[in-house]
Amino acid sequence: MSQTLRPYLTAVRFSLNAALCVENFSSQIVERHNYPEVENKKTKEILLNPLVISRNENEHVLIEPSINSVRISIKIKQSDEIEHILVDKFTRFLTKRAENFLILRRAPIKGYDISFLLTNYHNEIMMKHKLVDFIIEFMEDVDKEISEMKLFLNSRARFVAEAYLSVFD
Amino acid sequence: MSALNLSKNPIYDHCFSQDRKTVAITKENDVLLFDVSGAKPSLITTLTHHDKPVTAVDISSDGKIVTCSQDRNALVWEPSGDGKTYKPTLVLLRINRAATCARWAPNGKKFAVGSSDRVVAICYYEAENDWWISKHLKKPLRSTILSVDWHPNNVLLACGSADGHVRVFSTYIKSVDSKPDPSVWGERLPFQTLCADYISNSGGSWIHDVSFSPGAEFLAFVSHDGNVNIVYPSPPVGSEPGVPAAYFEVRTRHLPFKSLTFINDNKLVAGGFDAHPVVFEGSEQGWQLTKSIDDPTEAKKHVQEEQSAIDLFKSMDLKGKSGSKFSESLPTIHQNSITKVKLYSPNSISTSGNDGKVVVFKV
Amino acid sequence: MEDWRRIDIDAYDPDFTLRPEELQPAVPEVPTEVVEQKVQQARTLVSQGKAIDALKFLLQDPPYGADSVAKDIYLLQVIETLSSVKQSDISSTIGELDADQQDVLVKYLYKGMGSGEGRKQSGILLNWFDKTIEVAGEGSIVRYLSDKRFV
Repeated sequence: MSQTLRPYLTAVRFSLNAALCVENFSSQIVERHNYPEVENKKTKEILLNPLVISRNENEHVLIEPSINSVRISIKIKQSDEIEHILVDKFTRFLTKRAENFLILRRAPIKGYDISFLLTNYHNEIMMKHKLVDFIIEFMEDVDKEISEMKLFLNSRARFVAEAYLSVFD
Repeated sequence: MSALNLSKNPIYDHCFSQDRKTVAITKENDVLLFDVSGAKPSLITTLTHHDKPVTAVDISSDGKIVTCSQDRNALVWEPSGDGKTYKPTLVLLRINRAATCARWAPNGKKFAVGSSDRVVAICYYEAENDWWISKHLKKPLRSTILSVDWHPNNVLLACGSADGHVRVFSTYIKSVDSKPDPSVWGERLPFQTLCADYISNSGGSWIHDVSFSPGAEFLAFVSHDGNVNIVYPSPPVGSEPGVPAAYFEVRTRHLPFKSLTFINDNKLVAGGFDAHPVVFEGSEQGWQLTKSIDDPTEAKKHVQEEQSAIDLFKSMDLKGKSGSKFSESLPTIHQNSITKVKLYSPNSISTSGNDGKVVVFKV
Repeated sequence: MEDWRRIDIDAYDPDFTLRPEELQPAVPEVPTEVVEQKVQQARTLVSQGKAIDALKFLLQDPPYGADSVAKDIYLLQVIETLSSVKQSDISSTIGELDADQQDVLVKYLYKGMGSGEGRKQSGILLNWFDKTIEVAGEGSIVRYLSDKRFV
């Protein structure tokens, strides 16, 4: 684990833990409705200040808390063109399956690669500390996954190039 | 310290009966009544009528139960002779948003229901029609009411709202109440008199719970900034609400508290998102955090010592990782945030949590 | 007025919802000159090698009422001051701050990480953040989230 990853992840963990203090809260606008207030933002007093935690210029997390839901958006590290494509494919793969993935948001927030929406129902059923653990684990793993895929892609490209060029040997 | 595992669903509110033999808890759209006098809790009955999650339940001193729900209704349940069944009575709340909290006045003749409709409904019984009717406290409420608490004189009501204001109103209703004695909160108290209005310097955050001290000389409330606030009032001047004589904001290291209750005039207990109750002590000179009950930092050491080789193998086998990097369960008794703290006996409290437990703690 | 179907009529009802301005607590207005003066003072302290004193000075009375340009200047000075404190002194420095100053520090750390300039210094900010939470606990994050006075 590199030098700045640990403080980055602990910062996210603590901030998420603090933001995930949600309760069941039904709408003040529409009767008998209960929806994530962070998605709707109609009444200001039940939103909290959003916060950003950044590791460097192209890796950061946005957390937007409200009284009954929290939205977390992650900008995954993309240092070159290939990583950019890989991240795009990878997140698309996940968001297409958002249905089975409960907390995943179907579309990321603008400027971010992937977004989660945690509501009080998730918090009640799945236990808060495990939700936080999950997000942290995801952030750890996604970097690893992307760099592995990149390595794999590179070695494959090398193999293809070799096979192709051996004809001219 | 005894923990009752009553539900798989979160408990938003709980209430013990006066004799502590039964406990009522909320479970989704219903309220469950358990007999807890025996060794094991047994279900007495389920109160079913609401069609949206029940947000609060309260039992009056004479055994009537009030429930309120996000379906905009409240019901009063009166026990029938056999003690097993309850008869619901309609309450004309006249609100068109969710009801968020409900509390009986100490004498059981009135109750208050807070709502997302930016009103507090003060309900009382009307014998000729056999229903409960309500009068609304409206001005100057502008946001969802999250908590209410009664003054022992059955007239004054404190309510905390989502915009960070804590207000004390008079709910004097001629046909029900006798004239209250003058107190620090004011002398003349017609209905809807605003006796006090407090907000924190930082702009105020959601007031999760508010409580009068046992002697009703001052107020305490918990807000979403993780603070416990204690306010000593001064009487109102003319029609203006009084300014606080003293205001203590006890800053803590903890996550926000959801609920609080007084043990006595110098001691209160708060519990919330940190899943364990915390004790505060003080007086008019100042308040501070004195101790944690069921402290996770102490419990943690315990767990680490007990971790055996077999657990290690298990975690490697099941999850493919060596050592338990993440704790499987919290070191506290409650496994999720505490939703309500209530006084159980002069030296113990009962708490309910999102993990479906009701726990009685010694203080 | 052809698009009257889309008008949010609720927004025109004064009793209906609270406007953001109404939620804001009253803070005294701070003119830009005063902010610049404070920044200058802090800079002098830093150049004299008294970074810790400069930090305390900056966190004592943050300009809540200043305009956004002045606030950015102030933020930059805070970041600069933070980065001139020695790595080994961070924990002890935080210990010297009072509770109010710690809460203000958390505000600046978050604001720093959210701004373009601060992102370049993320390593330092994260380091400070880590140490601050160790001392002040999660309560200080919760207070950042719910405080309506912005730095």
